Amino acid sequence: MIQSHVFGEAFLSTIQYRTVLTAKDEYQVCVDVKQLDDLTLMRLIAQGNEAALSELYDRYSRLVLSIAYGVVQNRQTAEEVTLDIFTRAWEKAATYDPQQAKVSTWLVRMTRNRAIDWLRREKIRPFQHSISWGDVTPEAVATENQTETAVQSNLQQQRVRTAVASLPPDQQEALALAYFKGYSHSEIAQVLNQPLGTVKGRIRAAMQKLRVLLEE
Amino acid sequence: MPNQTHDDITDLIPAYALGALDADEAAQVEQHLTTCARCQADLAAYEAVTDMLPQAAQKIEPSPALKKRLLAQIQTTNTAVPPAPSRWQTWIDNLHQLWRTPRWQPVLALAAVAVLIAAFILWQQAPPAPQQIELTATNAAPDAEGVIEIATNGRATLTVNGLPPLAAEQQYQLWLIEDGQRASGAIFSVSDTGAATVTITAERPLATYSAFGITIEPAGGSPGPTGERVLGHNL
Repeated sequence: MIQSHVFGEAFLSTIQYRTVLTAKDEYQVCVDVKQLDDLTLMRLIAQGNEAALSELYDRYSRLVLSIAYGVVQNRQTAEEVTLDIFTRAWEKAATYDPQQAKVSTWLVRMTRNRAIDWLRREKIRPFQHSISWGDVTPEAVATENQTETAVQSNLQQQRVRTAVASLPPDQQEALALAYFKGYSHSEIAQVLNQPLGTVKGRIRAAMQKLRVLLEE
Repeated sequence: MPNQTHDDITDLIPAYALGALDADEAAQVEQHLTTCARCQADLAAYEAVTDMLPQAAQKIEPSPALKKRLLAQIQTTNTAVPPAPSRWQTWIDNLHQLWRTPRWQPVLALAAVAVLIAAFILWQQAPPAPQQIELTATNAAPDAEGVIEIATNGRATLTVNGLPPLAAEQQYQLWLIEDGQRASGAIFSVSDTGAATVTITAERPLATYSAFGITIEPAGGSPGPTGERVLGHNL
């Protein structure tokens, strides 16, 4: 691991941070972007640091692609959405406001909105509901060289999957249509050919249970 | 449902966080949220749940080519990157760094005092600012404005606005007045909008004149004022 010995631990304090950025080449040599938190990555991306964008992509491209795929149900289109999201991250990093949302949340919301916009723009309303949540079985992940952040992320993912898997299938189905398709209560009722009140009850019950299971 | 109770709205918050409410219900929730702190807290909790949901999506691995495309694409994409720090900014940053180093603080403090003294001396020797003389409109051209600016090198210009454009056989003439004597300072026409900027010619420094006036004269000017006065200034 290459670590900055030039600037010490406080190298990201405001003044020194700017100084570091003026010596861009030196910075890129001295700092291992894998050790930086998401917010610092965004600041570097806002300064035009490609290594930081590359790292952001490595951290979140699977998540972004998975959301996009969940919405558009087409790999090629999902990859186009993913490309668009990270290009936007590159362009808009300077406007990212950490007070509004974590970096991962910012990417997730942007991806969901863009993918659902694409569905609506293309007028693709297949009214198919073969959307399924991920398998609860833990994914085979390389544990070697994994950072602590990556380990935490895998644990969190497993926790959410287990929580969703614990919901009755009809609640999972309604929830998937709302999240991935952006359908409203009445649209879901139409797709599932169920009474509106039934759909409202399923969504509410699913979210209430998830809140209990996932709240820290 | 025009009279939703608090509990009715509370039931809708989970779906609102998910974006699954139809428009009318969403509007009711939004209105209620403006005054109900409890529901605002509920909403934050359900939004957190919503933001976690994609963790449970089927995981798809991006193709290796996708990252290459991204990195190639950003080469051609305009970024929101602010301009690189200027040399001046870098210099200021470096100075700030030095200031944080205790052994440099006395030196920098002395340097700052020296700069302040130098600035004061330069200020004392600075040339006077350009002098401006505003002209006042008469009833003949109530919208007119005029100003005479005397530069530090003595060059004087007259700038007017809002003067009525004249027929081809007429022009405006500036008069420089001292002890009842009137000397011509400029003869000029104005644009369609009544604007003009002309250089003033004078035998002696403009500041030595006691009054200025602009009148309407035959094209080419007159030896002395004959027409109506449109702008003037008495010092």
